[in-house]
Amino acid sequence: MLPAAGLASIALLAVLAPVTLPRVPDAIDLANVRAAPGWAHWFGTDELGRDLFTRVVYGARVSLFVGGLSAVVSAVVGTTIGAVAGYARGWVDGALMRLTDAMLAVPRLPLLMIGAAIMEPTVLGLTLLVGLAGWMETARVVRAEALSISARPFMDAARALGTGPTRLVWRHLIPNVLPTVAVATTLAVGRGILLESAMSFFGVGVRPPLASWGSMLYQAQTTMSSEPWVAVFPGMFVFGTVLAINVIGGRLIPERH
Amino acid sequence: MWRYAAARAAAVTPLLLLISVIVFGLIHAVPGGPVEMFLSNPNVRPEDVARLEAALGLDRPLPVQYAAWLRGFVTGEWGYSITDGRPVLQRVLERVPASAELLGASLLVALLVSLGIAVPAAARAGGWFDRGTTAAAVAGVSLPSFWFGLVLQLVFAVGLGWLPSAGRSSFGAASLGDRLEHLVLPATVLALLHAASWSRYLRAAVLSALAQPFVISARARGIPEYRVIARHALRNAALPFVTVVLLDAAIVVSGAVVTESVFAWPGLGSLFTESLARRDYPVLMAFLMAAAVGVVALNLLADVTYRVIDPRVRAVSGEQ
Repeated sequence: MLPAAGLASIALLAVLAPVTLPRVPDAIDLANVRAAPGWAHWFGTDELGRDLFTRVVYGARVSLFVGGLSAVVSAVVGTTIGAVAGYARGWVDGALMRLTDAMLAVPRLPLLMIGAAIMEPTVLGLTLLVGLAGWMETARVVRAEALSISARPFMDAARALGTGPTRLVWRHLIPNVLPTVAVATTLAVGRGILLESAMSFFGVGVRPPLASWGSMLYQAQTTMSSEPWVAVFPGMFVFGTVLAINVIGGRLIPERH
Repeated sequence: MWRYAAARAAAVTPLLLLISVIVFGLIHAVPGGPVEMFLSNPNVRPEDVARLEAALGLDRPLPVQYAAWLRGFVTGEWGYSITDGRPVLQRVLERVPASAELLGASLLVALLVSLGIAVPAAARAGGWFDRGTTAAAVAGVSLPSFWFGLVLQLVFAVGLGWLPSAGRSSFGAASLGDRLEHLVLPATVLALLHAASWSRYLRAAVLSALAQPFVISARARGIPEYRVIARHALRNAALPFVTVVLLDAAIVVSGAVVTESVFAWPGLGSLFTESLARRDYPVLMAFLMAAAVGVVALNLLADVTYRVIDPRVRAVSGEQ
Protein backbone atom coordinates (compact mmCIF):
# COMPACT_ATOMS: atom_id res chain seq x y z
CA MET A 1 0.00 0.00 0.00
CA LEU A 2 2.62 2.48 1.10
CA PRO A 3 5.05 1.98 -1.80
CA ALA A 4 2.22 2.17 -4.32
CA ALA A 5 0.98 5.40 -2.75
CA GLY A 6 4.48 6.88 -2.70
CA LEU A 7 5.12 5.92 -6.30
CA ALA A 8 1.76 7.26 -7.40
CA SER A 9 2.39 10.60 -5.71
CA ILE A 10 5.79 10.99 -7.37
CA ALA A 11 4.29 10.09 -10.73
CA LEU A 12 1.34 12.41 -10.24
CA LEU A 13 3.58 15.27 -9.15
CA ALA A 14 5.79 14.68 -12.16
CA VAL A 15 2.96 14.57 -14.66
CA LEU A 16 1.19 17.64 -13.27
CA ALA A 17 4.40 19.63 -12.80
CA PRO A 18 3.96 22.12 -15.66
CA VAL A 19 0.54 23.01 -14.30
CA THR A 20 1.17 23.01 -10.55
CA LEU A 21 4.75 24.18 -10.04
CA PRO A 22 5.41 27.93 -10.12
CA ARG A 23 8.94 27.70 -11.52
CA VAL A 24 10.54 26.15 -14.60
CA PRO A 25 13.58 23.89 -14.26
CA ASP A 26 15.80 26.04 -16.50
CA ALA A 27 15.14 29.33 -14.72
CA ILE A 28 18.56 30.74 -13.92
CA ASP A 29 18.70 33.07 -10.93
CA LEU A 30 22.24 34.28 -10.42
CA ALA A 31 21.28 36.22 -7.32
CA ASN A 32 20.46 33.02 -5.45
CA VAL A 33 23.17 30.55 -6.45
CA ARG A 34 24.05 27.66 -4.16
CA ALA A 35 21.29 28.46 -1.69
CA ALA A 36 20.76 25.95 1.09
CA PRO A 37 17.34 24.31 1.42
CA GLY A 38 14.84 26.69 2.95
CA TRP A 39 11.38 28.16 2.58
CA ALA A 40 12.04 29.93 -0.72
CA HIS A 41 13.74 26.93 -2.29
CA TRP A 42 12.67 23.69 -0.64
CA PHE A 43 15.65 21.70 -1.93
CA GLY A 44 17.97 24.67 -2.35
CA THR A 45 19.51 25.87 -5.60
CA ASP A 46 22.42 24.78 -7.75
CA GLU A 47 25.39 26.75 -9.03
CA LEU A 48 23.21 28.57 -11.59
CA GLY A 49 20.50 29.42 -9.08
CA ARG A 50 18.02 26.92 -10.54
CA ASP A 51 15.47 25.69 -8.01
CA LEU A 52 16.34 22.09 -7.19
CA PHE A 53 12.86 21.01 -6.13
CA THR A 54 11.55 21.98 -9.55
CA ARG A 55 14.46 20.23 -11.24
CA VAL A 56 13.93 17.07 -9.20
CA VAL A 57 10.24 16.96 -10.12
CA TYR A 58 10.95 17.59 -13.81
CA GLY A 59 13.74 15.06 -13.57
CA ALA A 60 11.15 12.58 -12.38
CA ARG A 61 9.36 13.04 -15.69
CA VAL A 62 12.48 12.05 -17.63
CA SER A 63 13.56 9.23 -15.36
CA LEU A 64 10.10 7.70 -15.05
CA PHE A 65 9.61 8.00 -18.81
CA VAL A 66 12.87 6.25 -19.58
CA GLY A 67 12.32 3.61 -16.91
CA GLY A 68 8.74 2.90 -17.90
CA LEU A 69 9.05 2.89 -21.68
CA SER A 70 12.31 0.92 -21.65
CA ALA A 71 10.57 -1.71 -19.52
CA VAL A 72 7.79 -1.92 -22.12
CA VAL A 73 10.37 -2.37 -24.89
CA SER A 74 12.11 -5.08 -22.84
CA ALA A 75 8.75 -6.74 -22.21
CA VAL A 76 7.79 -6.83 -25.87
CA VAL A 77 11.17 -8.09 -27.10
CA GLY A 78 11.66 -10.48 -24.21
CA THR A 79 8.18 -11.98 -24.38
CA THR A 80 8.46 -12.53 -28.12
CA ILE A 81 11.83 -14.20 -27.88
CA GLY A 82 10.91 -16.25 -24.83
CA ALA A 83 7.56 -17.39 -26.18
CA VAL A 84 9.00 -18.40 -29.56
CA ALA A 85 11.90 -20.22 -27.91
CA GLY A 86 9.69 -22.02 -25.40
CA TYR A 87 7.09 -23.00 -27.95
CA ALA A 88 9.33 -23.98 -30.85
CA ARG A 89 12.02 -25.78 -28.84
CA GLY A 90 14.74 -27.53 -30.83
CA TRP A 91 17.36 -25.49 -32.65
CA VAL A 92 15.26 -22.32 -32.55
CA ASP A 93 15.24 -22.50 -28.76
CA GLY A 94 18.97 -23.24 -28.74
CA ALA A 95 19.84 -20.32 -31.00
CA LEU A 96 17.63 -17.83 -29.14
CA MET A 97 18.97 -18.90 -25.77
CA ARG A 98 22.53 -18.59 -27.09
CA LEU A 99 21.72 -15.02 -28.11
CA THR A 100 20.30 -14.39 -24.65
CA ASP A 101 23.41 -15.82 -23.01
CA ALA A 102 25.64 -13.69 -25.23
CA MET A 103 23.79 -10.52 -24.28
CA LEU A 104 23.94 -11.47 -20.61
CA ALA A 105 27.67 -12.18 -20.74
CA VAL A 106 28.58 -8.66 -21.81
CA PRO A 107 28.39 -6.42 -18.72
CA ARG A 108 25.30 -4.31 -19.23
CA LEU A 109 26.28 -0.89 -17.94
CA PRO A 110 29.63 -0.70 -19.81
CA LEU A 111 27.88 -1.91 -22.98
CA LEU A 112 25.17 0.75 -22.64
CA MET A 113 27.68 3.45 -21.81
CA ILE A 114 29.67 2.72 -24.95
CA GLY A 115 26.51 2.54 -27.03
CA ALA A 116 25.25 5.86 -25.72
CA ALA A 117 28.64 7.53 -26.09
CA ILE A 118 28.80 6.42 -29.72
CA MET A 119 25.25 7.14 -30.74
CA GLU A 120 24.60 10.25 -28.62
CA PRO A 121 20.89 9.48 -28.56
CA THR A 122 17.89 11.62 -27.72
CA VAL A 123 15.90 10.69 -24.63
CA LEU A 124 13.76 8.42 -26.80
CA GLY A 125 16.83 6.79 -28.32
CA LEU A 126 18.27 6.32 -24.86
CA THR A 127 15.04 4.63 -23.79
CA LEU A 128 15.28 2.28 -26.75
CA LEU A 129 18.89 1.42 -25.92
CA VAL A 130 18.09 0.65 -22.30
CA GLY A 131 15.09 -1.41 -23.40
CA LEU A 132 17.15 -3.39 -25.89
CA ALA A 133 19.62 -4.22 -23.13
CA GLY A 134 17.02 -5.42 -20.66
CA TRP A 135 14.95 -8.08 -22.41
CA MET A 136 17.03 -11.08 -21.41
CA GLU A 137 15.58 -11.63 -17.96
CA THR A 138 12.04 -11.48 -19.33
CA ALA A 139 12.95 -13.83 -22.19
CA ARG A 140 14.29 -16.40 -19.77
CA VAL A 141 11.28 -16.48 -17.48
CA VAL A 142 8.82 -16.40 -20.38
CA ARG A 143 10.67 -19.26 -22.05
CA ALA A 144 10.46 -21.34 -18.86
CA GLU A 145 6.74 -20.65 -18.59
CA ALA A 146 6.22 -21.29 -22.28
CA LEU A 147 7.96 -24.66 -22.10
CA SER A 148 5.59 -25.77 -19.39
CA ILE A 149 2.46 -24.25 -20.90
CA SER A 150 3.16 -25.70 -24.34
CA ALA A 151 2.88 -29.15 -22.83
CA ARG A 152 -0.56 -28.57 -21.36
CA PRO A 153 -3.60 -30.39 -22.73
CA PHE A 154 -5.42 -27.26 -23.85
CA MET A 155 -2.56 -26.54 -26.27
CA ASP A 156 -2.87 -30.02 -27.75
CA ALA A 157 -6.60 -29.54 -28.04
CA ALA A 158 -6.21 -26.26 -29.88
CA ARG A 159 -3.64 -27.81 -32.17
CA ALA A 160 -5.99 -30.73 -32.86
CA LEU A 161 -8.67 -28.25 -33.83
CA GLY A 162 -6.31 -26.97 -36.51
CA THR A 163 -4.94 -23.84 -34.88
CA GLY A 164 -1.75 -22.69 -36.58
CA PRO A 165 1.44 -21.92 -34.62
CA THR A 166 1.19 -18.15 -34.84
CA ARG A 167 -2.32 -18.10 -33.45
CA LEU A 168 -1.40 -20.70 -30.84
CA VAL A 169 1.41 -18.55 -29.55
CA TRP A 170 -0.40 -15.23 -29.80
CA ARG A 171 -3.87 -16.20 -28.59
CA HIS A 172 -3.17 -19.09 -26.26
CA LEU A 173 0.41 -19.08 -25.04
CA ILE A 174 1.12 -15.41 -24.47
CA PRO A 175 -2.04 -14.58 -22.48
CA ASN A 176 -1.00 -17.29 -20.03
CA VAL A 177 2.51 -15.94 -19.52
CA LEU A 178 1.33 -12.39 -18.87
CA PRO A 179 1.44 -12.61 -15.04
CA THR A 180 5.08 -13.62 -15.27
CA VAL A 181 5.73 -10.82 -17.74
CA ALA A 182 4.06 -8.34 -15.38
CA VAL A 183 6.46 -9.16 -12.57
CA ALA A 184 9.53 -9.10 -14.82
CA THR A 185 8.44 -5.81 -16.39
CA THR A 186 7.86 -4.16 -13.01
CA LEU A 187 11.38 -5.06 -11.94
CA ALA A 188 12.64 -3.85 -15.34
CA VAL A 189 11.26 -0.36 -14.64
CA GLY A 190 13.42 -0.08 -11.55
CA ARG A 191 16.41 -1.43 -13.44
CA GLY A 192 15.81 1.02 -16.27
CA ILE A 193 15.73 3.96 -13.87
CA LEU A 194 18.98 2.82 -12.24
CA LEU A 195 20.65 2.33 -15.63
CA GLU A 196 19.54 5.73 -16.95
CA SER A 197 20.71 7.51 -13.82
CA ALA A 198 24.06 5.69 -13.90
CA MET A 199 24.59 6.53 -17.57
CA SER A 200 23.61 10.16 -17.04
CA PHE A 201 25.88 10.29 -13.99
CA PHE A 202 28.80 9.40 -16.27
CA GLY A 203 27.75 11.99 -18.79
CA VAL A 204 26.58 9.64 -21.54
CA GLY A 205 22.87 9.46 -20.81
CA VAL A 206 20.59 12.44 -20.47
CA ARG A 207 22.83 15.45 -21.08
CA PRO A 208 22.70 18.67 -19.09
CA PRO A 209 20.98 21.12 -19.03
CA LEU A 210 18.08 18.68 -19.38
CA ALA A 211 17.23 17.56 -15.87
CA SER A 212 17.08 13.89 -15.04
CA TRP A 213 18.02 12.57 -11.64
CA GLY A 214 21.22 11.12 -13.07
CA SER A 215 22.29 14.26 -14.94
CA MET A 216 21.68 16.30 -11.78
CA LEU A 217 24.03 13.98 -9.91
CA TYR A 218 26.56 14.36 -12.73
CA GLN A 219 26.49 18.12 -12.27
CA ALA A 220 26.50 17.77 -8.49
CA GLN A 221 29.87 16.03 -8.39
CA THR A 222 31.89 19.24 -8.59
CA THR A 223 29.97 21.20 -5.97
CA MET A 224 29.12 18.29 -3.70
CA SER A 225 31.62 19.00 -0.95
CA SER A 226 30.40 22.51 -0.29
CA GLU A 227 26.73 22.05 -1.21
CA PRO A 228 25.85 18.46 -0.35
CA TRP A 229 22.12 18.94 -0.87
CA VAL A 230 22.68 19.11 -4.63
CA ALA A 231 23.71 15.47 -4.57
CA VAL A 232 21.48 14.19 -1.79
CA PHE A 233 18.01 14.95 -3.15
CA PRO A 234 18.17 13.55 -6.71
CA GLY A 235 19.79 10.35 -5.49
CA MET A 236 17.25 10.01 -2.70
CA PHE A 237 14.47 10.12 -5.26
CA VAL A 238 16.13 7.49 -7.44
CA PHE A 239 16.51 5.28 -4.40
CA GLY A 240 12.99 5.84 -3.13
CA THR A 241 11.35 5.30 -6.51
CA VAL A 242 13.27 2.14 -7.34
CA LEU A 243 12.67 0.82 -3.83
CA ALA A 244 8.91 1.36 -4.16
CA ILE A 245 8.95 -0.37 -7.55
CA ASN A 246 10.90 -3.35 -6.24
CA VAL A 247 8.62 -3.76 -3.23
CA ILE A 248 5.57 -3.70 -5.48
CA GLY A 249 7.22 -6.12 -7.92
CA GLY A 250 8.05 -8.46 -5.07
CA ARG A 251 4.44 -8.50 -3.97
CA LEU A 252 3.28 -9.30 -7.50
CA ILE A 253 5.15 -12.60 -7.54
CA PRO A 254 2.48 -15.27 -7.30
CA GLU A 255 2.80 -17.80 -4.51
CA ARG A 256 3.55 -21.19 -5.98
CA HIS A 257 1.58 -24.01 -4.40
CA MET B 1 34.93 -34.57 -15.72
CA TRP B 2 37.47 -33.38 -18.29
CA ARG B 3 35.40 -34.72 -21.13
CA TYR B 4 32.43 -32.75 -19.84
CA ALA B 5 34.53 -29.65 -19.36
CA ALA B 6 35.93 -29.91 -22.89
CA ALA B 7 32.46 -30.45 -24.33
CA ARG B 8 31.12 -27.40 -22.51
CA ALA B 9 34.12 -25.31 -23.57
CA ALA B 10 33.48 -26.28 -27.18
CA ALA B 11 29.79 -25.43 -26.84
CA VAL B 12 30.72 -22.03 -25.55
CA THR B 13 32.74 -21.08 -28.67
CA PRO B 14 29.75 -20.03 -30.80
CA LEU B 15 28.66 -17.92 -27.84
CA LEU B 16 32.01 -16.14 -27.74
CA LEU B 17 31.91 -15.56 -31.49
CA LEU B 18 28.44 -14.07 -31.19
CA ILE B 19 29.66 -11.76 -28.43
CA SER B 20 32.61 -10.68 -30.56
CA VAL B 21 30.25 -9.82 -33.42
CA ILE B 22 28.10 -7.75 -31.04
CA VAL B 23 31.12 -5.86 -29.67
CA PHE B 24 32.66 -5.28 -33.10
CA GLY B 25 29.32 -4.18 -34.56
CA LEU B 26 28.75 -1.73 -31.71
CA ILE B 27 32.01 0.14 -32.24
CA HIS B 28 31.54 0.26 -35.99
CA ALA B 29 27.96 1.50 -35.60
CA VAL B 30 29.36 5.01 -35.35
CA PRO B 31 28.63 6.88 -38.56
CA GLY B 32 32.15 7.48 -39.73
CA GLY B 33 33.66 4.60 -37.82
CA PRO B 34 36.47 4.82 -35.27
CA VAL B 35 37.92 7.94 -36.86
CA GLU B 36 34.68 9.93 -36.49
CA MET B 37 36.20 12.23 -33.89
CA PHE B 38 38.60 13.53 -36.53
CA LEU B 39 35.85 14.25 -39.02
CA SER B 40 34.61 17.31 -37.16
CA ASN B 41 38.09 18.70 -36.62
CA PRO B 42 38.67 21.49 -39.19
CA ASN B 43 42.44 21.04 -39.02
CA VAL B 44 42.21 17.49 -40.26
CA ARG B 45 42.07 17.36 -44.05
CA PRO B 46 40.10 14.68 -45.88
CA GLU B 47 43.37 13.27 -47.26
CA ASP B 48 44.66 12.84 -43.72
CA VAL B 49 41.50 11.01 -42.70
CA ALA B 50 41.85 8.75 -45.75
CA ARG B 51 45.48 8.07 -44.91
CA LEU B 52 44.55 7.31 -41.30
CA GLU B 53 41.82 4.98 -42.40
CA ALA B 54 44.19 3.15 -44.72
CA ALA B 55 46.80 2.87 -41.96
CA LEU B 56 44.24 1.46 -39.53
CA GLY B 57 42.89 -0.87 -42.19
CA LEU B 58 39.47 0.76 -42.10
CA ASP B 59 39.16 0.83 -45.88
CA ARG B 60 38.94 -2.94 -45.99
CA PRO B 61 35.58 -4.66 -46.11
CA LEU B 62 33.96 -5.11 -42.69
CA PRO B 63 34.22 -8.91 -42.51
CA VAL B 64 37.95 -8.64 -43.22
CA GLN B 65 38.35 -6.04 -40.47
CA TYR B 66 36.36 -8.23 -38.10
CA ALA B 67 38.53 -11.27 -38.84
CA ALA B 68 41.70 -9.25 -38.32
CA TRP B 69 40.43 -7.81 -35.03
CA LEU B 70 39.33 -11.20 -33.77
CA ARG B 71 42.64 -12.79 -34.69
CA GLY B 72 44.42 -9.97 -32.92
CA PHE B 73 42.28 -10.36 -29.81
CA VAL B 74 42.93 -14.07 -29.55
CA THR B 75 46.70 -13.65 -29.98
CA GLY B 76 46.95 -10.84 -27.47
CA GLU B 77 47.48 -8.05 -29.99
CA TRP B 78 44.84 -5.71 -28.78
CA GLY B 79 45.96 -2.67 -30.70
CA TYR B 80 47.25 0.64 -29.46
CA SER B 81 45.49 3.06 -27.15
CA ILE B 82 44.43 6.38 -28.66
CA THR B 83 45.09 8.10 -25.33
CA ASP B 84 48.82 7.49 -25.08
CA GLY B 85 49.75 5.24 -27.97
CA ARG B 86 50.82 2.38 -25.77
CA PRO B 87 49.67 -1.20 -26.40
CA VAL B 88 46.19 -1.75 -25.04
CA LEU B 89 47.15 -5.06 -23.45
CA GLN B 90 49.87 -3.33 -21.45
CA ARG B 91 47.51 -0.60 -20.26
CA VAL B 92 45.00 -3.22 -19.19
CA LEU B 93 47.48 -5.47 -17.41
CA GLU B 94 49.01 -2.69 -15.35
CA ARG B 95 45.59 -1.89 -13.88
CA VAL B 96 44.82 -5.47 -12.89
CA PRO B 97 46.53 -5.44 -9.45
CA ALA B 98 44.49 -2.48 -8.21
CA SER B 99 41.23 -4.02 -9.37
CA ALA B 100 42.19 -7.39 -7.94
CA GLU B 101 42.86 -5.75 -4.57
CA LEU B 102 39.52 -3.96 -4.52
CA LEU B 103 37.49 -6.88 -5.85
CA GLY B 104 39.22 -9.36 -3.59
CA ALA B 105 38.56 -7.33 -0.47
CA SER B 106 34.98 -6.46 -1.35
CA LEU B 107 34.03 -10.00 -2.42
CA LEU B 108 35.46 -11.41 0.78
CA VAL B 109 33.48 -8.95 2.88
CA ALA B 110 30.37 -9.58 0.76
CA LEU B 111 30.61 -13.33 1.34
CA LEU B 112 31.12 -12.90 5.08
CA VAL B 113 28.23 -10.45 5.37
CA SER B 114 25.99 -12.74 3.29
CA LEU B 115 26.81 -15.66 5.57
CA GLY B 116 26.21 -13.56 8.65
CA ILE B 117 22.84 -12.46 7.40
CA ALA B 118 21.55 -15.53 5.61
CA VAL B 119 22.25 -18.22 8.18
CA PRO B 120 20.52 -16.61 11.19
CA ALA B 121 17.71 -15.45 8.91
CA ALA B 122 17.14 -18.96 7.57
CA ALA B 123 17.46 -20.49 11.03
CA ARG B 124 14.51 -18.45 12.24
CA ALA B 125 12.69 -17.87 8.97
CA GLY B 126 9.91 -15.34 9.29
CA GLY B 127 11.32 -13.93 12.50
CA TRP B 128 12.22 -10.28 13.10
CA PHE B 129 15.84 -10.73 11.98
CA ASP B 130 14.73 -12.38 8.77
CA ARG B 131 12.15 -9.74 7.98
CA GLY B 132 14.51 -6.92 8.86
CA THR B 133 17.35 -8.22 6.72
CA THR B 134 14.98 -8.96 3.85
CA ALA B 135 13.88 -5.33 3.91
CA ALA B 136 17.51 -4.23 4.02
CA ALA B 137 18.31 -6.49 1.07
CA VAL B 138 15.50 -5.04 -1.03
CA ALA B 139 16.78 -1.58 -0.14
CA GLY B 140 20.27 -2.67 -1.11
CA VAL B 141 19.34 -3.74 -4.62
CA SER B 142 17.33 -0.55 -5.14
CA LEU B 143 20.20 1.69 -4.16
CA PRO B 144 22.10 3.42 -6.98
CA SER B 145 25.66 2.38 -6.15
CA PHE B 146 27.26 5.56 -7.45
CA TRP B 147 25.00 7.67 -5.23
CA PHE B 148 25.71 5.45 -2.27
CA GLY B 149 29.41 6.00 -2.92
CA LEU B 150 28.89 9.77 -3.11
CA VAL B 151 26.94 9.79 0.14
CA LEU B 152 29.63 7.75 1.93
CA GLN B 153 32.24 10.18 0.62
CA LEU B 154 30.17 13.11 1.90
CA VAL B 155 29.66 11.60 5.33
CA PHE B 156 32.95 9.90 6.08
CA ALA B 157 35.45 11.91 4.07
CA VAL B 158 34.09 15.42 3.73
CA GLY B 159 31.88 15.53 6.81
CA LEU B 160 33.67 13.49 9.46
CA GLY B 161 37.11 13.41 7.87
CA TRP B 162 37.70 9.86 9.09
CA LEU B 163 38.59 8.36 5.74
CA PRO B 164 40.08 9.57 2.46
CA SER B 165 37.60 10.20 -0.30
CA ALA B 166 39.46 8.86 -3.33
CA GLY B 167 42.50 7.10 -4.68
CA ARG B 168 44.40 4.03 -3.60
CA SER B 169 46.99 5.71 -1.39
CA SER B 170 48.16 9.17 -0.39
CA PHE B 171 51.13 10.72 -2.17
CA GLY B 172 54.31 9.22 -0.85
CA ALA B 173 52.67 7.41 2.04
CA ALA B 174 52.32 3.79 0.98
CA SER B 175 52.00 2.35 4.46
CA LEU B 176 49.62 -0.52 5.02
CA GLY B 177 47.41 1.58 7.25
CA ASP B 178 47.11 4.28 4.59
CA ARG B 179 46.32 1.72 1.90
CA LEU B 180 43.68 0.11 4.12
CA GLU B 181 42.10 3.49 4.84
CA HIS B 182 41.70 4.11 1.14
CA LEU B 183 40.28 0.65 0.61
CA VAL B 184 37.50 0.90 3.19
CA LEU B 185 34.94 3.08 1.42
CA PRO B 186 35.06 1.62 -2.11
CA ALA B 187 35.19 -1.93 -0.76
CA THR B 188 32.20 -1.20 1.48
CA VAL B 189 30.13 0.08 -1.44
CA LEU B 190 30.90 -2.98 -3.56
CA ALA B 191 30.50 -5.42 -0.68
CA LEU B 192 27.09 -4.13 0.35
CA LEU B 193 25.94 -3.99 -3.24
CA HIS B 194 26.63 -7.68 -3.72
CA ALA B 195 25.73 -8.83 -0.24
CA ALA B 196 22.21 -7.45 -0.76
CA SER B 197 21.44 -10.02 -3.44
CA TRP B 198 23.80 -12.81 -2.35
CA SER B 199 22.38 -12.96 1.16
CA ARG B 200 18.98 -13.61 -0.42
CA TYR B 201 20.31 -16.47 -2.57
CA LEU B 202 22.12 -18.03 0.37
CA ARG B 203 19.09 -17.74 2.62
CA ALA B 204 16.96 -19.50 0.00
CA ALA B 205 19.61 -22.18 -0.46
CA VAL B 206 19.89 -22.81 3.29
CA LEU B 207 16.11 -22.95 3.66
CA SER B 208 15.91 -25.40 0.81
CA ALA B 209 18.62 -27.55 2.41
CA LEU B 210 16.83 -27.42 5.76
CA ALA B 211 13.72 -28.81 4.10
CA GLN B 212 15.55 -31.96 3.09
CA PRO B 213 14.84 -35.29 4.83
CA PHE B 214 18.42 -35.67 6.02
CA VAL B 215 17.93 -32.67 8.31
CA ILE B 216 15.01 -34.38 10.05
CA SER B 217 17.11 -37.47 10.59
CA ALA B 218 20.02 -35.37 11.85
CA ARG B 219 17.81 -33.66 14.39
CA ALA B 220 16.29 -37.02 15.37
CA ARG B 221 19.78 -38.28 16.09
CA GLY B 222 20.14 -35.48 18.62
CA ILE B 223 22.55 -33.24 16.74
CA PRO B 224 22.30 -29.74 18.19
CA GLU B 225 20.55 -27.24 15.90
CA TYR B 226 23.55 -25.00 15.34
CA ARG B 227 25.48 -28.01 14.07
CA VAL B 228 22.64 -29.13 11.87
CA ILE B 229 22.70 -25.72 10.23
CA ALA B 230 26.42 -25.14 10.11
CA ARG B 231 27.71 -28.56 9.20
CA HIS B 232 24.86 -30.14 7.33
CA ALA B 233 22.57 -27.57 5.80
CA LEU B 234 25.24 -25.01 4.98
CA ARG B 235 27.45 -27.53 3.22
CA ASN B 236 24.61 -28.43 0.92
CA ALA B 237 23.70 -24.80 0.39
CA ALA B 238 27.27 -23.74 -0.33
CA LEU B 239 27.45 -25.24 -3.78
CA PRO B 240 24.40 -23.60 -5.39
CA PHE B 241 25.39 -20.39 -3.64
CA VAL B 242 28.92 -20.35 -5.07
CA THR B 243 27.49 -21.18 -8.49
CA VAL B 244 25.15 -18.21 -8.32
CA VAL B 245 27.98 -15.93 -7.19
CA LEU B 246 30.08 -17.00 -10.19
CA LEU B 247 27.12 -16.41 -12.48
CA ASP B 248 26.89 -12.85 -11.18
CA ALA B 249 30.28 -12.04 -12.70
CA ALA B 250 28.89 -9.56 -15.25
CA ILE B 251 27.21 -7.59 -12.48
CA VAL B 252 30.46 -7.55 -10.53
CA VAL B 253 32.17 -5.95 -13.53
CA SER B 254 29.51 -3.24 -13.85
CA GLY B 255 29.67 -2.53 -10.13
CA ALA B 256 33.44 -2.27 -10.25
CA VAL B 257 33.31 0.22 -13.14
CA VAL B 258 31.00 2.51 -11.19
CA THR B 259 32.72 2.24 -7.82
CA GLU B 260 36.26 2.62 -9.14
CA SER B 261 35.21 5.72 -11.05
CA VAL B 262 33.48 7.36 -8.09
CA PHE B 263 36.45 6.72 -5.80
CA ALA B 264 39.12 7.32 -8.47
CA TRP B 265 40.49 3.86 -7.74
CA PRO B 266 43.21 3.24 -10.38
CA GLY B 267 41.89 -0.07 -11.66
CA LEU B 268 40.23 -1.47 -14.78
CA GLY B 269 36.91 0.20 -14.01
CA SER B 270 38.31 3.69 -14.04
CA LEU B 271 40.36 2.76 -17.14
CA PHE B 272 37.02 2.10 -18.78
CA THR B 273 35.45 5.44 -17.87
CA GLU B 274 38.62 7.36 -18.74
CA SER B 275 38.75 5.65 -22.14
CA LEU B 276 35.06 6.31 -22.64
CA ALA B 277 35.54 10.03 -22.08
CA ARG B 278 38.31 10.03 -24.69
CA ARG B 279 36.48 7.70 -27.08
CA ASP B 280 39.51 5.41 -26.94
CA TYR B 281 37.85 2.64 -28.95
CA PRO B 282 40.70 0.10 -28.97
CA VAL B 283 40.69 0.06 -25.18
CA LEU B 284 36.89 0.00 -24.98
CA MET B 285 36.57 -2.91 -27.40
CA ALA B 286 39.27 -4.89 -25.66
CA PHE B 287 37.66 -4.21 -22.28
CA LEU B 288 34.18 -5.34 -23.38
CA MET B 289 35.48 -8.44 -25.11
CA ALA B 290 37.80 -9.41 -22.25
CA ALA B 291 35.06 -8.84 -19.68
CA ALA B 292 32.61 -10.98 -21.65
CA VAL B 293 35.17 -13.75 -22.09
CA GLY B 294 35.85 -13.63 -18.36
CA VAL B 295 32.15 -13.87 -17.57
CA VAL B 296 31.71 -16.82 -19.92
CA ALA B 297 34.76 -18.54 -18.42
CA LEU B 298 33.39 -18.11 -14.90
CA ASN B 299 29.98 -19.42 -15.99
CA LEU B 300 31.74 -22.45 -17.46
CA LEU B 301 33.64 -22.90 -14.21
CA ALA B 302 30.40 -22.74 -12.25
CA ASP B 303 28.81 -25.30 -14.53
CA VAL B 304 31.68 -27.78 -14.38
CA THR B 305 32.24 -27.35 -10.65
CA TYR B 306 28.58 -27.98 -9.94
CA ARG B 307 28.65 -31.23 -11.86
CA VAL B 308 31.90 -32.39 -10.35
CA ILE B 309 31.00 -31.73 -6.73
CA ASP B 310 27.38 -32.78 -6.75
CA PRO B 311 27.20 -36.49 -7.57
CA ARG B 312 23.42 -36.31 -7.88
CA VAL B 313 23.70 -34.11 -10.97
CA ARG B 314 25.99 -36.63 -12.62
CA ALA B 315 23.73 -39.54 -11.74
CA VAL B 316 20.69 -37.84 -13.24
CA SER B 317 22.43 -37.31 -16.55
CA GLY B 318 23.52 -40.94 -16.64
CA GLU B 319 27.26 -40.32 -16.62
CA GLN B 320 29.47 -42.65 -14.60
